[in-house]
Amino acid sequence: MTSTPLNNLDRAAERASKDDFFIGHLLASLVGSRGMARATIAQRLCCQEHQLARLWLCRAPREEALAFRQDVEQIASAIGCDATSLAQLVREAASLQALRSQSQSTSSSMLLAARDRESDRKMDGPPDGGPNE
Amino acid sequence: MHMKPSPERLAELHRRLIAGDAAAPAEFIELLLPWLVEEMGRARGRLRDEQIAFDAATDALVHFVKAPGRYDNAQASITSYLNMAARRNLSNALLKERRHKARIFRLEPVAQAEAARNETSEGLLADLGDRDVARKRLEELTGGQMGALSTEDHAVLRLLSDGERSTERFAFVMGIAGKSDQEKKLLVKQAKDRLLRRLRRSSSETDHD
Repeated sequence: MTSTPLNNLDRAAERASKDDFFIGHLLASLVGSRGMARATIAQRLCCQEHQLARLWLCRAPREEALAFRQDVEQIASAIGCDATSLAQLVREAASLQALRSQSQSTSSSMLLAARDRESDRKMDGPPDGGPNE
Repeated sequence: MHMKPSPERLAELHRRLIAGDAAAPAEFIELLLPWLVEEMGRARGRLRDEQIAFDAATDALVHFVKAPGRYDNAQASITSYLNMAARRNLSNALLKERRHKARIFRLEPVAQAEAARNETSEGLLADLGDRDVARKRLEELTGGQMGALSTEDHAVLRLLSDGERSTERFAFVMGIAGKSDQEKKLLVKQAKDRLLRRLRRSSSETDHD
């Protein structure tokens, strides 16, 4: 975000980034997790940075291929950005979110497995080579 | 001053929202947000917090674009419908704020036993910035809120706000001067902890307000 005071549309866009109904929720993950600057996003979409607030407030594209294409084209045409680049960015953001949720579930599974190993070890007594051997 | 958008333009956007146009939510919000925020500001002329008016307007618009089928054009115009929804949000937010403020000053009694098993009064005093916080809260208490404090608590609060450190002085106002030194020390510590806990809680809630 810029350092100047946010106008109402920017503030509404910030609100949209917390609601998965909006495309802003997806694209905000690129800004948050990958540290991608808003200027970079605007550059990749071939649009001005100030147009991003309006983009953030569009509905997130549906997943089904045909509907996805239709939604991305509608958004790109309304915002005045490149549809192909927008589709790529959305896919990137969606993959990132999927990976993140997968890694979260993996790390919690690993923690559970580690806890199970620990409790098994306690029940089995000291490991080989321990003081009781 | 922002003009109310034309009914024709709004009807067209509503049709696009119903049809699932992915860009329509942005256009709808962009068109109506400045007008609706202004309406909410006017609705509450003495509204201190502009953020509440903005949130009320934004929530009404977001709700509308997410479920455009709920709006029935036979009942009201889109602008009237949004105005009503945003006013309802505003009333709820203000009610919530009022309840929150009332809770700050309720100063519910905290069990003395609970106070005794937590931080020392020295720790709490350091955490709070001791007498400045006590003094500030004392100044903020209105007549009614003052009445919620027991005479003993009020006297202890006043001593705290004066920066008093002597156990004897606290014991005197608490009416326990005749007890043993050990008992006085314990009871004074418990009373200070209990009161400081209330102050700390009400201070932090005020900060979040």
